[in-house]
Amino acid sequence: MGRQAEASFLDWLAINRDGLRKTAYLLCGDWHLADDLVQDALTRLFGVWGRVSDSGNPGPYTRKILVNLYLDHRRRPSRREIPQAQLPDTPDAGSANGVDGDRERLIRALRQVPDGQRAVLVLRYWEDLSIEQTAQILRTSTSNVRSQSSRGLDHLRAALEPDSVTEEVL
Amino acid sequence: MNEIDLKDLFATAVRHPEADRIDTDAVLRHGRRRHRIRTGARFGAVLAVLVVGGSVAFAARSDQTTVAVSDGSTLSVACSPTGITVSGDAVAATSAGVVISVSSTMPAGSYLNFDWPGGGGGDALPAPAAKVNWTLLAPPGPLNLSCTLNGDPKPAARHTVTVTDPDGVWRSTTLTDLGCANGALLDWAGPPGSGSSPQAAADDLLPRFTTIGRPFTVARARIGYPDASSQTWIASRSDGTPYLALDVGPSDSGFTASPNSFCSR
Repeated sequence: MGRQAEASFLDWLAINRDGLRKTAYLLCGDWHLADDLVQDALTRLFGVWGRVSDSGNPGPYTRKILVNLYLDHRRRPSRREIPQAQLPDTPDAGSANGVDGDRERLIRALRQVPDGQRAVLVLRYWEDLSIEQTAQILRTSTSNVRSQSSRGLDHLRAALEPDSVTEEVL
Repeated sequence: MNEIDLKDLFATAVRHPEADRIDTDAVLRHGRRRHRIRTGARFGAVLAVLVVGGSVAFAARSDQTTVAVSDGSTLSVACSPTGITVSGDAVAATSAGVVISVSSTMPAGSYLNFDWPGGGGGDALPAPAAKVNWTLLAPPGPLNLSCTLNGDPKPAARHTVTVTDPDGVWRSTTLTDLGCANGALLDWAGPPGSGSSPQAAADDLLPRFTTIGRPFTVARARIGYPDASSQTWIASRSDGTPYLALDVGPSDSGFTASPNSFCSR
């Protein structure tokens, strides 16, 4: 791996670092785990940087690594987190209304959406990927993306209902 | 949550990130090591891909799709654990849409997916155990059908039929033609408007959108099938510029109107 490749990787990372962290956070709901996932994804990306950067657009490949690392993490029973009554980054009690209240409510609702469906929602509606691009990243069919998206929105909608019972799936 | 799309909510969730703990030096150090290992392992990986690819190709031949003859205006579609059974390769559209008669013997939680290339439309609905008619808003052309349970359909559970339009009922104008397909999906955000007529349902919904201004107008668009249960309406500002596309359809108590997407603003 030459100095030129390293420089171009660092340039790309400077632009995309924040976006990757945010995507990872929306997937997992925890900033510590998000940083672990991004660091792992970047390590894998840098290992193949020459080939990926030649393609001209490393973004989709990086998101593919990130999402699959997250889903892989969730599939391992030893790594699965214990359901918690309280979020690890719950804001102060005084901020339960307004922006922080919305934020807490959304993260709590997202946690009630099953992993695969949450990945589809994040890729489609946060990353603005098409159904076809989402299917490619998740290595599944467009029809499955549609069904996962539909079910994910149903879950999210129900979880955002004011009276919904919170039962986190993490 | 009016006039907020899912992306706005996601943006709210990540508005205050915690301190970045990513160790860039470790990324570079371990990345270089992975690169050296990958280069040495490339030949082995090629062999593995060939072996796995051969196995998949063999498995794909193991099921069959059953195809019979359709009566033309209604297509029977049945999902079963062994695949999908479709009563024909073509179905004629009615003025309300494409009628399919659906049944399933798959386990609870199974879905019948339908989509059509090009138009970006389609959906997935729970596969019903008892036979029921669905009317799809699929345009003339290919219509993909598949039965799934927790993942990809098997090859035997996919089938593509052709929707024909012998009576010329389909109106090919699209939301894109009207400047109302900007990708913001709003139908999940907030309850729909309701009323005793399509106009009343739209009038109930639109005041929640504060940036439309006053007065506004709303009118039915000539899109898709003329007698479809769900119709597209366009709300416009006082100067006539389209603002919002709505889906308006009947409900138990009258009509409902849901936001579909914003128009160019």
